[in-house]
Amino acid sequence: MESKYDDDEEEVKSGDYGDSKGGDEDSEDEEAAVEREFKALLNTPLKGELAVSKDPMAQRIAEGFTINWMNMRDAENGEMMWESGEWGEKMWRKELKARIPADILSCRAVSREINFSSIEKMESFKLEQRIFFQGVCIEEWFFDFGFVIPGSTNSWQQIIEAAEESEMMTAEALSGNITIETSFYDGDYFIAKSLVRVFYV
Amino acid sequence: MGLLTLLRKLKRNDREARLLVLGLDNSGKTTILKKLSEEDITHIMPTQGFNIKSLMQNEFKLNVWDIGGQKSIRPYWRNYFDQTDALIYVIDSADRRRMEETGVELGQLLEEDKLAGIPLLIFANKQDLLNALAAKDISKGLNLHTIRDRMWNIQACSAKTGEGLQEGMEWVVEKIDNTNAGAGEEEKAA
Repeated sequence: MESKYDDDEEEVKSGDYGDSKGGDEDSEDEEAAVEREFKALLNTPLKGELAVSKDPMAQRIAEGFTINWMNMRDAENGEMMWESGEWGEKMWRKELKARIPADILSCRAVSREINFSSIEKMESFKLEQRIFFQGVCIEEWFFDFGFVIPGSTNSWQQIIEAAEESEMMTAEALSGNITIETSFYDGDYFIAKSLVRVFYV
Repeated sequence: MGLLTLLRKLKRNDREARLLVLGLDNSGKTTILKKLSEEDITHIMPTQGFNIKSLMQNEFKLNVWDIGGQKSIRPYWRNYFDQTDALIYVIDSADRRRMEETGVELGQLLEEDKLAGIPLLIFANKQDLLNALAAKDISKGLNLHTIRDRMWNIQACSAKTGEGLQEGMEWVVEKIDNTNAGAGEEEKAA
């Protein structure tokens, strides 16, 4: 367990979430912080960011938090298009690469599923998922799980209808330029973030 | 077949609905949801927490919450009652030994303020098994006819073959569609 925080991978950048969130700062500061964060988000180059909180309470939750696997399916027939395999804790220390058959772009509906475990109880667990195209956020999803049972393993499957074909970019244009960033929070405390870069093959 | 097809038929837009799926362990909650998405059901493990399916279509979001049914997890069910639009209760029709236990759990759920008045669908699952009780026998055994404070329905089904699943889900979605189309007279305790 300990090694999780020691083996600083190259890809990992520690964010300052623990410092900027959770405190009772006045709203102007908070607004400025949000604004800063938003601008930083807009300027995020090619890949998103991987980070681990510095807050001790959030760190305890993070220590006991594991993303077990992720997958993507054709939601019409349940067919598996991509599986992450068992990455365990590395899932939120390294950028994953998903090589997905280009056929998925013609699927009418696509499913993305993420499976995670938590040793600690959480009262207001939530997730933010952002899809980046060449570093620009083109889609975002928020989900409130609320309560998380201590020692539980849980999954969230999201099924999304595809955009009309005319709006669709080609596999060549998208391949390697799309990243899916999934961040987890307990209330305002940032816990962990995973990053998947999508290649269409 | 499937939840997506159902969702496409819905009239409303710009709304969110939440279905809560409960029942004893091994009743087949997760399998039902997987089968509805045409997914492989051969390697399903006991749920040690929750499984959520979020379906999004035309601004309408349907969130289906499947919570583990083991005895140690049941005390946590109440953490997931808020804002629920319909309850789906799954029964293993072949588990005669635990029919009373499942009846007690259901009875407790029906007394919860946060679940008051919402439509209830009971899936009498595992009809593919030879010793499965018929839906009408379960209905009788659990005194379902005494439920008068909500719309309810019992649907015989087999998560294994898929039989009855679509019918059951159609009933649920139709009921929440109607409930929400009417005036929002139903106040949910916070």
